[in-house]
Amino acid sequence: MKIFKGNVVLVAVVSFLLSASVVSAASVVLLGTADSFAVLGGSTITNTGTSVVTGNLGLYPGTSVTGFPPGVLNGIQYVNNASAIQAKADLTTAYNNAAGQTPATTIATELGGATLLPGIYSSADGTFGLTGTLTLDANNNPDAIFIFKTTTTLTTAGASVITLINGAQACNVFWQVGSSATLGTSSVFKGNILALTSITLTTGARVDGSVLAQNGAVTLDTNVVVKSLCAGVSAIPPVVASSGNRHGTINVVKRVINDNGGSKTIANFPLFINGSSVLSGITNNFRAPATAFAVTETSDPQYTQTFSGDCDSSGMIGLSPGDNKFCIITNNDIGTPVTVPPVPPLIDVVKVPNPLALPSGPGAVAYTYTLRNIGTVPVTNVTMVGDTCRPIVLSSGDTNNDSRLDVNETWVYRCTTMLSATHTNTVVATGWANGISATDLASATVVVGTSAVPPLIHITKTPSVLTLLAGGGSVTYTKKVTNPGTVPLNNVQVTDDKCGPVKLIFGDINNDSKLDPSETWTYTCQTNLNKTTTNIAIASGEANGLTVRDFAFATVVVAENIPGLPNTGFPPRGVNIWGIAALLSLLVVGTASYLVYKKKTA
Amino acid sequence: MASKTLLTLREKKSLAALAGVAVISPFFYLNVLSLVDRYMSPGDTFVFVPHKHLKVVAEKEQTRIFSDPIRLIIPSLLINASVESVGLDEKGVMKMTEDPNNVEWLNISSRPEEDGNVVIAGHYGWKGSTPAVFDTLYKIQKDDIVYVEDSSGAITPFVVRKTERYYPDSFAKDVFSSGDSGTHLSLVTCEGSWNKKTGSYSERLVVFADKE
Repeated sequence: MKIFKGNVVLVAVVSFLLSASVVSAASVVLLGTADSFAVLGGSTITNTGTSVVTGNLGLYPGTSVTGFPPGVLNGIQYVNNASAIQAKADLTTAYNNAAGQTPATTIATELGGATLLPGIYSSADGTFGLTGTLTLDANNNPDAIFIFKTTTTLTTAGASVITLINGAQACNVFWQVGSSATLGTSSVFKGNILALTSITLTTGARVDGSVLAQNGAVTLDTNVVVKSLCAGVSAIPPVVASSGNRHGTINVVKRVINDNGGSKTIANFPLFINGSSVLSGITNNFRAPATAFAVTETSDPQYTQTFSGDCDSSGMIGLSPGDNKFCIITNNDIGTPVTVPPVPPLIDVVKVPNPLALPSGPGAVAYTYTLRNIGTVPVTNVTMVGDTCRPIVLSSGDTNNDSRLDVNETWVYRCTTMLSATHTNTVVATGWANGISATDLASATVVVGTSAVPPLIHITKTPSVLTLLAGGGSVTYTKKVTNPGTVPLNNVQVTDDKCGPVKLIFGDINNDSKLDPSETWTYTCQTNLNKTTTNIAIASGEANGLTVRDFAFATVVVAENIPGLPNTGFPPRGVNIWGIAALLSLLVVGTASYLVYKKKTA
Repeated sequence: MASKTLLTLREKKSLAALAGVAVISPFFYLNVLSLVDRYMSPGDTFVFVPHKHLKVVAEKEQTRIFSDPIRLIIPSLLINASVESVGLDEKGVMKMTEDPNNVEWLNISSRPEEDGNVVIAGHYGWKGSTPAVFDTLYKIQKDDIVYVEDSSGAITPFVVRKTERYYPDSFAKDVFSSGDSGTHLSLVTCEGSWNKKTGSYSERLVVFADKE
């Protein structure tokens, strides 16, 4: 009882202290379409070294984006086009909104050593600097906003750090910088920098947030910039089902098919969950259980929109604790009908963590991602978006160094991270060919703190044809299900959203009804298609109390125009004068010979 | 090699038909001999690629790669022609070569054994003193057998189901797609009256055949 009373007193004291130091409430700075960008510039974007940018990269005005590669962009680059122009316009709006928020609390220029609560802050001399550590405390409100305003510069020292505590999220931190921002060597920065002029990240600086420069350059040097998305809850990593788990994840995956002359890409369709912007392939955490999340997008009248995967046909998705759900949106262009169908790409990715379990507690896990082209055309613009392990580095496979995933090429990527709790993460691979995107995803769970080994499952799907002439025809999908893990899988099931029944042909060699790591179970499914179709096969299996799933996508393009019948005619056989002459002469010679013969014998 | 020598009744029938035609047609006989040669190996009496068995293998492994057609044989019309590969022109019309002896396979249509329609066209009429390969195609009868050899050496027999006539600019969907899961063959040529101005006949003749 004494302890209980003590706690009450402590809570009361803390509450008093907090309320005493409460500053003016800031409201969220809406970034609009700029919200999908990790880097946005207004003159040039220059990178040195192996920077990794996760999120989109945009430039307007200006056209000079240099240093990618060796820099890696896990996102889409928009240079001097409509998307970049819109993002820059939205950035101006956001900048003005942040600059205009009042009343600001004036604090010291040097932020090092401070712990700040949510609010609007400015400094007396119009500039902020950070040496050491700045701590931002959200006071257990994951929606709490921090706004820092300068009339001139923002400068952080080498190795300086911003720490977020009690639910503070980098997505909710905004730095409105009146001129330019410079982040020090190997510093760790949190939040969105909205600078009027330029932004320079010196060697090794890391930003969880975004660097958005309105009029000037963005300069990078061996940095990590990760566009940090707001989740409904604080940054709790995705987890597997376990008692006491109160969260689930939703990953929205976008596919675009331009089989009728369209040219839109993934970023032309901004994605939202319950109105909040999300990125394709990025896992988002939500409180669960929840009955209805609405997945939406900024649609395009020239494209059809189809929802599939775990969401229903209108994009609604429910979430139970421990769920890792995927909502797939496929956009297909409505354009000029074609006679010769473009060949769609087909890729396959599998991810294997090592080790699968960390029974004695936190430790390092190395993920190996194997990406294959299982189609018939080379795949370009390959991106690998991982939700928690970064950076994902291409280790081998592009043997001819053409940056294309050629047919039958196998690219191996690697990523290492520290895990302190049981964790499931996902990678989404995307590539393009002939205006059509291919996607595959792979999830893997690593168990921390118990010796139970989690299962893994992998499915590949190959259609018998990738294209059909107008009118369509029969397609047989072959699905191969394997077990990249170490424990046999029970209750293996394979479904397909647009083909049934899915029949197991063979593969259970020892007839134990378990998918063993050495086995490949082959399934087929036949259907007739009369229009371009993307379908999704889902394989699931169970072991050690955990259920695992894998997805496989395939697009078959059906042309709309019927080919014309060929002109197969030569002229009919005419009267051949020479032929008649030859016959006549033969007749004459024959008759003459006969007459001569008759005369002789007479 | 047991699977190679075990022929089904249907395959035996096909072979019998092939052999029968070969005997009565000295012209065709040479061609069959060359095919027999290709599949003969020491110790075997007659080795024929049993496509039914290949299909079983395909269902199990599903790594089947289909091969382009290279030869078309219609014993009843004494037709034995090389197959060339053609695409569509910029108007979406199937292209033709000027060779009267060869036939053309539309390379975006199906391959022999593959589900869908294998579309093969040949000329009608005469080029100089040479009758074009499909000049006598109109004589084909229902249930005649048409063989298509692919570049892997496999021979697929098709049985004629019907013939249809189309106007040259028809949207002849059935010629190019069947919509079902069978393998079919469409043989296309010209028919009707010759129009000197357009360099074209007034109709197109299509022979529809189904994989046996």
